[in-house]
Amino acid sequence: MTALAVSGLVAGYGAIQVLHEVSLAIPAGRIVTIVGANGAGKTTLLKTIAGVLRPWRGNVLLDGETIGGRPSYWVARRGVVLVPEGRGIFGDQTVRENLLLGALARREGRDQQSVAVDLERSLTLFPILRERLEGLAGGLSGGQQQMLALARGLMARPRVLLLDEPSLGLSPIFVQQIFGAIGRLRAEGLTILLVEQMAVQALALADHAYILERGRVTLEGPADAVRENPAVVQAYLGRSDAHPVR
Amino acid sequence: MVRLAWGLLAACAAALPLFTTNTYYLYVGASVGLLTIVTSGLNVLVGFTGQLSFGHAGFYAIGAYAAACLTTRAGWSPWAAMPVAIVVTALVGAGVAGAALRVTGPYLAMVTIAFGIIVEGILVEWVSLTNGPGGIFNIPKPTLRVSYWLIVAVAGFALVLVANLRRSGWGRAFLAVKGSDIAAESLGLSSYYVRIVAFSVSAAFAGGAGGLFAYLNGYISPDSFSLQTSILFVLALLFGGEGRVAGPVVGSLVLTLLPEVLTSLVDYRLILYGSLLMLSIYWLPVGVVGALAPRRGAEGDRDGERRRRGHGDPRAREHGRGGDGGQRRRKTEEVEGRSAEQALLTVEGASLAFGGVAALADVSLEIPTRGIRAVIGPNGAGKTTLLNALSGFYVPDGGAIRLDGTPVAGRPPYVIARRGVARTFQTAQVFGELSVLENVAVGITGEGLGSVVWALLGAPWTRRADWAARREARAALAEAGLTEWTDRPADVLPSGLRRRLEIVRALATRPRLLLLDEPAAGLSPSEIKELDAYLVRLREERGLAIVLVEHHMDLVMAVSDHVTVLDYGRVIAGGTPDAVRTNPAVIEAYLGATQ
Repeated sequence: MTALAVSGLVAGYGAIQVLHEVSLAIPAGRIVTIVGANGAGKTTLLKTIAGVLRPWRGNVLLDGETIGGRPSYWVARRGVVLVPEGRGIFGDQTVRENLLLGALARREGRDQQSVAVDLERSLTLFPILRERLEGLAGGLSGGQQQMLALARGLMARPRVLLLDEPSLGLSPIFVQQIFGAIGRLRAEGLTILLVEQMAVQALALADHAYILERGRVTLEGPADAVRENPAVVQAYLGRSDAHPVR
Repeated sequence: MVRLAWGLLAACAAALPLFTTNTYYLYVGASVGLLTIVTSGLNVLVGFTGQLSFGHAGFYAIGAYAAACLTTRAGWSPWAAMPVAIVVTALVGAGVAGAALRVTGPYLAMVTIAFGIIVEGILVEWVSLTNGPGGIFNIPKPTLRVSYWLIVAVAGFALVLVANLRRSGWGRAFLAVKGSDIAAESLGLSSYYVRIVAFSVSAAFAGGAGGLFAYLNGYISPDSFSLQTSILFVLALLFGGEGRVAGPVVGSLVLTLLPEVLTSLVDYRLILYGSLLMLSIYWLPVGVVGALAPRRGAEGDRDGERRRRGHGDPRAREHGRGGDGGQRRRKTEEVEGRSAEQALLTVEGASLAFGGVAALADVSLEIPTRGIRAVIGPNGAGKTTLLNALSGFYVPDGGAIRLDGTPVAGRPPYVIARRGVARTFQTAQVFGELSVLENVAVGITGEGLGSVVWALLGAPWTRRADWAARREARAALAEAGLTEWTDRPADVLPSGLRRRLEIVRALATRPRLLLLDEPAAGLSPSEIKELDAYLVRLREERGLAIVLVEHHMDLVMAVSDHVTVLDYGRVIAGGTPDAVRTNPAVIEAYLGATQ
């Protein structure tokens, strides 16, 4: 079953068109990844799905309901939650406050007990956050902040989680931990749209992949097949990354 | 199209007195002109540098009273009094700015309100000079028609000056400081000084308009220079469109004419202004002109147009390049005159703590004049703190940092930048309102801005320097594969390309040492391969020293001559890439077992 469907999406900034008729489908409980060069429109696509940008044309459907063109807070309440590039955590508030703010976006289960249950679940997924729960989020290291951003997104009880470059600026250890966490979320049945420059790792994790070039989908298929595609290996995976160091 | 509109406007404005002798129309027309002059100047401050002043009625008053006192008391001719009034206002503006610009944003707005109130108070109290609340009479006054033409001509001239300024290196410096003052500092610009210049220019415009105001009326009193007048200036600018050369014209026309047209509403003038301000900010956050105009980046387009038409003067090009080259050569000579063994930069026992947490603890390292040194370590290990200390953004609590053997710790970032240290930032800092090309041009021009007066007047040599900078920037962008983005505003660049632009811009300053903060973050594996080759080329061809803070181990291992590993602010390992990669402490703290 398709959880999130994007059809003929056209969007951009000012007079500059970035997305040209992008269509994709994200099956429920799967990870779909988007691979593409810088400037291909990956972040723009996520922002448009999340309602941060208004689409010029085209539609976004969540379980068959139109969400394209609705404002971002409305889209978030429907359960499409964006964890933005650069994390966007609230540095002047504690880790706990950040997490509780995440719960504001949910439509159901806003009672204290359900929130506490989800908080516990997030802290189990990211134990480091439990240690820093009452500390200011701004004092966390970059990797911890990325975990907080992810955990905060989960507090909204997303039906679809949109992840924009979760590995950005993280040390190798944290990259492993973040990808590990995304894998566990997949095992729990969460639907995820993943934009990630570490294409090898992203393709290893994903079920399905789309290649985005200059705002157009030029290739799609099962992640395994895309990973083996010679053109993709040549253009996006780079030799050294296909055979990781050590 | 735009040119036609300007021509039409100028013709209408100049011809008005030929069609009517009605003094009311001419007076209203002159008022529009005066408001245009003041708001054009304010545009330099608000639109270009992003700072707000609610005290410009004070400068308007200083210009008016200077002209009035010199003509009535000292018996000067109005023509001689005018430039003096402008210079006096500019100097007062520089003085006020020097004190006030220790703060920016809303704090500056508050300080300028206080300044305006003080000036108004002085006008009332210093009776021997200003004649107090009674004001000054019998100021020499040309006929209304002459005053009108004079004011309209000066208003037109003011617009030309601002347009010249916007296109010059100064205009780019203003918008750079507005976009990111830390990035501007890293390119050798003192953002404090740049803002002072903008403030003084805007004060000078207000002073000139004040002098004309005195001549137009023949009488001035403190009533004309209240806080309300300052607010009107800001309102006219915001309504018309800040940052746009035409904005002040539209704002001045509408805000002067509207109350006159709706004469029955004159009593409700304030309500009208207030509503206009609210509505315009709600509906037209970029002002009337901003809403009508296409997206920014047009400056670059116009440059391209000139290039295609072949209007560039080749001799001018040579001249400009020669001028620039001289400056560059000095930096390079310094490099070559030094022995290769001597370190370019040394850090000895640097330590720095934030609220008791040690970000750097006794860090020592040497950076040779050439080569790539990587700094790796877990998130929060102090890598970025180290770069900030090296480039002057942080001052270490202890230890020493020497550049060419001279201590530089404690020197401001722009001084260190001028001595050949360029950098990029972890979160790319591009100047969003400038085109991609202009971003690079800021780096090329650096602190070599010349006099702001020549920039305002559009002197041939400033234009040549501008063309040379744009040409060099275009070439650098082409080399970096950013040609298709050249004339677009930098804020539409995707994050990976922002990083590339930052590197091009940093290199445009012709540095000896380049500090890169996670240049590969957000790049795809194949883009990282390109970066890899690019960094190696920089080291080989330009003989640069590079400090690379990075998490992508394949890049670090491929390009570095030496790797330093930080953890909890301490150097835990250092050596060749291979030695570091197999170091158990590094694997434990950073690389992880499965890597």
